[in-house]
Amino acid sequence: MRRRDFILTLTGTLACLHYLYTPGVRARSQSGRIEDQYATMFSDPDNARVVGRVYLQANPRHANRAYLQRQLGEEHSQDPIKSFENRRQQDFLNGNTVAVDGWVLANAEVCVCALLALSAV
Amino acid sequence: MLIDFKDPKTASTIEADVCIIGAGAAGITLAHSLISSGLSVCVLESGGLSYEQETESLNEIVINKSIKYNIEGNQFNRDQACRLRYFGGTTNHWAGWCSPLDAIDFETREWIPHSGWPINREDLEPYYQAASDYCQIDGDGYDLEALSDASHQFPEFEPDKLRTAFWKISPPTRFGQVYRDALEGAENIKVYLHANVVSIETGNSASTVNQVQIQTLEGKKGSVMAKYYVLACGALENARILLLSNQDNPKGLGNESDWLGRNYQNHPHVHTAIISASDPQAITQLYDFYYHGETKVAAGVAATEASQQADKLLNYSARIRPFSGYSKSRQIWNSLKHFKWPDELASKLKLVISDFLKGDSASDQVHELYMYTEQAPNLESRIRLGDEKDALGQKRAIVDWNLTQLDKHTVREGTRLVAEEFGRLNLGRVQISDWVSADASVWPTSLWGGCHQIGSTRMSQDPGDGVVDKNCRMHGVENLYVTGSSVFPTGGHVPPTLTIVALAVRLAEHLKSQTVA
Repeated sequence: MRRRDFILTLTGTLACLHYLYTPGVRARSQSGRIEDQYATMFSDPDNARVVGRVYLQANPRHANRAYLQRQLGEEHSQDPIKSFENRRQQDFLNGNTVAVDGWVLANAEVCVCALLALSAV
Repeated sequence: MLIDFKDPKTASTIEADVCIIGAGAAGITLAHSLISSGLSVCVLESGGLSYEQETESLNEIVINKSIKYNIEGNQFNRDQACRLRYFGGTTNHWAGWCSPLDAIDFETREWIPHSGWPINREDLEPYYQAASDYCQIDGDGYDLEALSDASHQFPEFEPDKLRTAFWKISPPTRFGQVYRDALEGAENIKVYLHANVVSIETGNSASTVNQVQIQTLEGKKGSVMAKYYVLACGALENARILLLSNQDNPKGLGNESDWLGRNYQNHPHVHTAIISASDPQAITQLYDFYYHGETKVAAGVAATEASQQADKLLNYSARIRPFSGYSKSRQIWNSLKHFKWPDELASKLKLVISDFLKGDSASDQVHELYMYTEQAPNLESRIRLGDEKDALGQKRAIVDWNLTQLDKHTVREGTRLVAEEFGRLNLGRVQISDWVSADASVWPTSLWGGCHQIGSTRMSQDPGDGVVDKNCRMHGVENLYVTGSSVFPTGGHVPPTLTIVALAVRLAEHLKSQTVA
């Protein structure tokens, strides 16, 4: 993360805290089964949550479960993991990527991490 | 025959049908191709048969550091821009990397100023075979069909984005050693050592070269008279000698167009990213050197024509190679950069990426993406004369090596395309270096030009757009030719030696046909 992103991150943190402690959001996160399925992709889902938090801190407007789900297209999928794989490939193919600490990740990958970060609150 | 011009017994006046100035890859190939041609050939070499410090000091140049986008490359701070001045020239420490230019490299690309050769790849194709023989590599193709085998199955990249590229590695051929016996034994070839060309002189009309003046470091002077003269001293020295030959035109011989010395290029070599691979060992094995028959081969990735056109890129390629010592240095750097906050990100991110890759999370091995790019032709990237003089009293060259926004754009977009394709195929995830995204003027200090001197006597159809025509003959001068990478209008992404040799073989054929005519 660049130094200039530090300020953005700090601003994002405040926005996230405000968002994540909104009661409605918290209730939806706790009841989400999709996040549980996504969590199985990781050896330790907490690692993904850290990445997700960093992303949401830099992009506080994306701290929205519905938005992230739309990005993943999971509302049309019976198999979210398989859908994720397809979406991930499509993201790389179409240049729909996000840089996290310089690492080029698919938008879908970051969205999964962000969803897990939201669900953990 | 080898003759030392320093020897007092050696006559100071030399006559031949063809006078070749320079005994490097181009000069030796040309002379060798003219064996048994019926033409008498003299080759003028500045040095002797081995390294001599006093002669090498003639190569010293001056770097201009004052202009925008000027790159103070490491290459200019050592070995006089990597060149060597003795029989065999710079091939005496050549690394041996060979690959022909791509078809698109010869084309006029509207997004690249001053691109376009007056010849195309097909014109040069027959000579690449002979060049391969000279460089002691096989003359087979450079594509997947020719070079993949059971243990080297390369990724199926999206054809619009990326392709696998190959280089063949010459033993490497030391031209001075390998072809010495042939030249020494040839009845029609005389190689003069310690014969430094100090001036090329034309007649009153300036359309014909009458003679070249030569001199030893000890002060012996002489002259060479020939029907044809060929300048084959590399991109820096070709331009310098022509600029110094200013008796009739103060701007230099063949410089009516003002192109002489301009359009100077290298191949920017630079580390742009690191790669965390899903299977580090497999990636290492795939992109390591291997043998195809007798020829050593290296593989990497390169731009497709489609991506160059779509994203308005220069041509480029990249090697993927193990990058040792990365993890610890990166951790230290991250701590400093982040003021230890958030200190867990780097390690957690690595584990997450490993999960996405379904790879070995225990592996600390990463690879680096090391790019070699074509340089955008640029009039302000140039060779000119300074006031400082060498031991022969000749003005030294000043080098302005300049890069442009297009060069930076190519590095940035090329790295992005590699990152996307490695991600799509789940081969790995790519971390792009911070400077890549920065302004066009920002380059790392590790940037260098690969010792590939290119441009400075541009080949062109129109005399107003260059220095030599499609046969390497100087515009407006009927018996002076220039060969080597100095005539390249653009340099592609590949090392220039194979094309230098191919052009020399082609020029030999042209000279033979001229004589017959």
